[in-house]
Parts: sequence; structure tokens; C-alpha cells
Amino acid sequence: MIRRGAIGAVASVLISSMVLGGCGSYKKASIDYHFGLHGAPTEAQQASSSHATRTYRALIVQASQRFASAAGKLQDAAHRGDIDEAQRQWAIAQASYNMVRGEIAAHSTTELTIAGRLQDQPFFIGRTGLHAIEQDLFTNDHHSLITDAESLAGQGTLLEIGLLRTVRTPSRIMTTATQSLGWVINDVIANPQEPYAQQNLLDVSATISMVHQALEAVAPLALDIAPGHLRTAQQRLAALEETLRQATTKQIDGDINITPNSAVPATTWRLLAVQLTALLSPLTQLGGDMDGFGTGRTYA
Amino acid sequence: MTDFPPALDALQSDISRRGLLRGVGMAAAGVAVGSVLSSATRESTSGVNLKTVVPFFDTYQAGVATPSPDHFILVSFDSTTSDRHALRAMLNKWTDAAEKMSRGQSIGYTENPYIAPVDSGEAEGLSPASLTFTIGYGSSLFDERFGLSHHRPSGLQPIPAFVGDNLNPLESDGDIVVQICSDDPQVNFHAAHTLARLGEGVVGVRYMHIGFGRTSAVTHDQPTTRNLIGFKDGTNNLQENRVPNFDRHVWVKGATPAWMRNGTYLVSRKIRVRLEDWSSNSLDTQEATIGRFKESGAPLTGDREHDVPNFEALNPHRNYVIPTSAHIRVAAPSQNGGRVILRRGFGFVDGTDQKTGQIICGLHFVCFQSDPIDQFVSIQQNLATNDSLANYLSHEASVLVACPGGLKTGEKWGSQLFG
Repeated sequence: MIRRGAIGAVASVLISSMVLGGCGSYKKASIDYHFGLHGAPTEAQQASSSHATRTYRALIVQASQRFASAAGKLQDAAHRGDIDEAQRQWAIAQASYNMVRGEIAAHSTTELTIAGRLQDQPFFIGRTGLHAIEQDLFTNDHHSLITDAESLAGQGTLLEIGLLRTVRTPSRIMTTATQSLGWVINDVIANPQEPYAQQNLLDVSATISMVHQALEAVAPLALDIAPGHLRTAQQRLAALEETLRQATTKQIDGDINITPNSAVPATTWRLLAVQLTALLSPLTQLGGDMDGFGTGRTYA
Repeated sequence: MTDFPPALDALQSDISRRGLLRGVGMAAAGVAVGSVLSSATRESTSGVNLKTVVPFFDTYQAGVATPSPDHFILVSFDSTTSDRHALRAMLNKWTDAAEKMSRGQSIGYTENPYIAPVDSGEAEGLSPASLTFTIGYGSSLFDERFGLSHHRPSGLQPIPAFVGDNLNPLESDGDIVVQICSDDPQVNFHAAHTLARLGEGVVGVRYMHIGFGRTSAVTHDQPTTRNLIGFKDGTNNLQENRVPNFDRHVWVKGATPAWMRNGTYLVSRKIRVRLEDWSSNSLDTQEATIGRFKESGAPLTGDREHDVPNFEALNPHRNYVIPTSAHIRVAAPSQNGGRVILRRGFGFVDGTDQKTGQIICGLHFVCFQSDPIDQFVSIQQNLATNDSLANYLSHEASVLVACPGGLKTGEKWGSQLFG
């Protein structure tokens, strides 16, 4: 909720800037112990809360590791001059980054280094990281590719370390999922992020996958305390995923969606946006339902 | 000198616009009944007195400290000529027309059916509806074209980019900007349309922003209304009857050029709200983001709307009751070195996004201040980086103009600016 709000406190310390999305001064910060509308949690609910926190952490750690791995292979491919392989690894890195981007403070040093855009005012640092490499790879001008790829590979390691101790309450997990959906609607479908690759389903697909896994992580707790909201969220997510499945024509590495924009009709983009919007409310309601569950302090 | 359309030369005085698309004689008797009925119908449904006339000639321009009406247009013009005499003449014509329209009158008539009517007619039969015009000059007007470069007001400095800005240059800035406000959207439209017609050959419309539903009270007897995110907006606004130092914060005193004395600086920002994101939030999150209760408008530390927020109050978990990123905390004068601005915001809806189906809506945030860089820019820098509400906002257009002081009776904008 306060990702942008924390910017004033962001120093140049990379790791601290990565975790600002989760700590700030908002009253739902991780040290808030009130028990919402449900009173003290039962043992089963505590176990479900811990399950959510652990599962979500695993999701984030795995995605950051995949990002780091892809960034390393991208660097190798750039050194070899293997553009096809570099494009493939770029797509994997981009999708993996989208899985974790909800944990990274907007306009933080991390974001501006890994995925800076021209419109990130007032910083005006130009295209950096994934966006710079996209331009390198999908135009005929590859002269900056090696430099950009080496920089991204270095960031991959730091991202992996920085996200290693991601600890979120079930409520916070839903908040992050909701924010990620909002980003897809407003910044991917309304204002496409990858003008050179022209593969916007890459971002949509990865984010929906993240939301799916986040919902699965909190599902045991949600089934206990808010089964109706969980059912609504699952039904709407299923409808969204069906639209996505029908729109998908090309995937690599199992789940990386590289369907070209030209293969997706405008009506499908619109339907995706409408279905994404419809998912916002049940996820937010679940976040509210789960407010107070989990301490957000341990993940063991 | 640039030729004006024939209609311009036919500006006549003291012609009621009730029933005068043609000659005054035939309208005088027949139309009166219809026009009264028309006004009565509107006034009975709107709940506001549409017959109110806001004085056009005054120490200060109308539309700043004037009670804020319900409808707003900000129309921006770019010059299409470098002929200063033409610009001066056009501004003088605008003055005549604006003064008539603010009294609910037609701008003129012709009895020749073979030429276009002087007055386009869409406000025919309508009341003045508190119509005001507030003219302002953008920085670009003070280049070399009109010999005004030595008269650039000191406050016309570039507004820096803020975090999260997504400005469309075609919907920003402009040589001349006019804020038009009234309680009748058709009266507003007629006013903007008329200025555009009278400006043909000298200026062209750069953009037109249309707003509705004032979101800030400017006088203490106006109740606080709600914005499109459902919260009372402008509770802590600078109000003329409450704050004795209006002169210090809004009006420019002792300035050069002379026409800026008793003037002010207008900043308008078109701020899109991601309404679907916002509306899906829990009530608790919405109230924490704003720092006020949604229903009453009271601060989270109070019971009534105008209770003074207690920014030091802690909850049992030793967190601030009003979070550090809450909008009212970040915007509060105490968090901005005592800086305040006069706000006059209006909502807008621009249909839906064709790609996503989402509602394109938000706020035309309009504010007035005596020093835009020290006041608006300082406050906005704080809001852009520290206000959690900013997560739902996108600033899509921006303009800063210098608004001259009010006109003496019979004075005109062109003469005021060019001497």
C-alpha cells in the first residue's frame, strides 16, 4: 500500500530498498498483532497462517532464483553473440521478475536498476536492466547488449539475497497480489511495457501465475474463515486463466508466455482487463478477512 | 492587424440573451415567457440560485475567492499569430463578451440572416448561474513574439517533474488559459465556445478540461462535498472567512509587472484516479490512506469533520492513529513548513479506457497561491513521494499561469496586459 510512500526514506542501500514494500509505517505493518474480526486464532488457523507465509516465501525465493539464473545465462549468451538464446533468457528473466515485482518498492533503486523506463519521472535515467536489454535484443542495435546483460546479472544475485527473507502475513500477501493485478491492468494492458518485444502476455501471464500461487498459499486459511470470498476469487481466477489460455499461442520453458501481441485481438485484451478488474475485489476482501492472522515475523 | 470574424464587430451592449439570436425587437415580447419557464425549471431541480451574478469588475478576478460553483471548464489557447495588436484587440473583445455573459446576457445580435449569429445561442434563455471567468497567462506568452519578455511574472517558473507524473504535453500548458465556472454546464460551455469563436485567427484551442461537482469549499458557508473516491475533500482548505491572511497566501501584492498586483497564480493538474483499484480496498485501508473517516469526514483522531487532527496520537500498538503516509498528514501545513494553498477542485469523467474498460475519471485539481514554486511545488513534492494516496493517482496534465489582478470598471484585459 505504501510502496511509493516509502521513497523518501530510500537510501542507496540496495537490499533495504527492496524490502520497503513490506515495512513502512502503515498501520497494517508486520508488527501489528491485533486479531481483526475473528478473535484469537485457533491452532489450526495459526498453522494455516504459517503455511501461507512459508509457501509465499518459497514462491518469491524460487522466482528470484530463476531470475538470477536466467540473468546469468543471458549474460553468457550475450558474450557468445547468441541473440536467440539471449531473447529466450530475457523472457524468462522478465517473467520471473514479474513474479516478485510486488515485493519491490516502486521507483526504488532496485526497480530503477532492474527495470527502469523512460517515463519513470523525475529520474530520467532511461531504459535500464530488462527494458534496456529488450531494446538491445529486439532491434538491430546490439552494441550495448553485453554491458546491459552484465549489469543485470549482477542485480540478479543481489535480488536473490534481498528477497531471501521475505516474510508476509496472509493479509499482506493478498494486498501484494491485488497491487500486482492493478499494475497489469494499468501499466501492461493500458500502457504496454515492452514496445520492442511486443509480447505483453509475458507480463500478464507471469503476474496471473503469481496471483494464482499466492491464492493457493492462503487458501487453507481462507477456506476456514471466508470460504465464500475464496470461492468467488477462485471462480474469477479460473475464468481469467481460461481467457489467457485461449489467447496463448507460444510458450517456452514450460510456462513463459511469449505470444506476440499481434496474435491477441483487442477484444481479448479488453476481456482480460475486465476479468482482472473483477478479481480485485474478492482478493481485497480476502485480505481484509485475514487481517490479524499470522505474525509476519517468522517463516519457519 | 488580423481580421476578426464579422460577428466580433457586432458586439452590442445590454442585450439579454433570453431570446436574442436575432433582432432585439422581435424577441422582446415573445420569448420572455419561455425563458422564465426555462429558468424556473432548472432552478427548481438544481437547488441553487441560478440567477446569481458574480461581479465581473472587482479588485480581484472572480473565480478565485468566489464561492465555488458546480461546473468547471479550463480552456487553454495557443496564439496563432505574433501580432501583438491583434492579441490585444482579441483580449479586449473577450473582456466585453465575458462581462456580458457573466450578467447572463447575449454577446450581441445581428438582423442579417445571411451571416452567422453573433451569439452562438446555446445559452439562450439561461440564467447567469454565477458564471465567472479567470484569465491567466502561461510562460510561453512571454517569449519574443509579443514584446512581453520583460514582463514575465517572477512566479512563472517551470514546474519540476514529480514522482509518478505521466503528463501529456498536448493537454498541458498554453499561452492563455481561462478558468470558467458556473452552476450550469451549458452556460459554461457557451462561455468557452464563445471565447474560442472570438479568438479565431488569433488563438486556437489547445485543450479543454471539463469538470463537475466542486470538491473544495472556498467560503465557510459552503459545505464540504465529496470527491469521486467518496471522501469529503477540502475540509482543511484555505477559506477567506476563516483565514485572515488570504493576502499572504493567495494574492500577489506589490508585484511587477503592475497588472499582476492583486493577481494570483493558478495551477491546474489533471489527476486520474485508478478508481477500480481504489474501490476494491477495504474501508479500513481507504480511511487509513486518507486519514479520515469516510462517512463523517472526521480525522481518525476525532469525531467531527472539522476537528483538528492529532498527528501525535498513538493506537494501542504504538503506531500512529493517522499513519505517517496518510494523505491529510502529508498535506497538512504543519508538514509543509506552514505552506498553504487555496484549492478549487472538480471531478471529471472522460468515458472509459478502450483497452481495459476502466472508467477514466479523477480530479481537476486547481489551486491558487501567491508563490507557486514555494507553495504548490513544495507541497506536491512531499505528496508525490510520501502520500499513500499517490499509489492510486496519475498526474496526466499540468499548467501554471499568472492571473492578473481584477479589472476596474470599463477596463479590458488587452489594455491591462499591453497598456
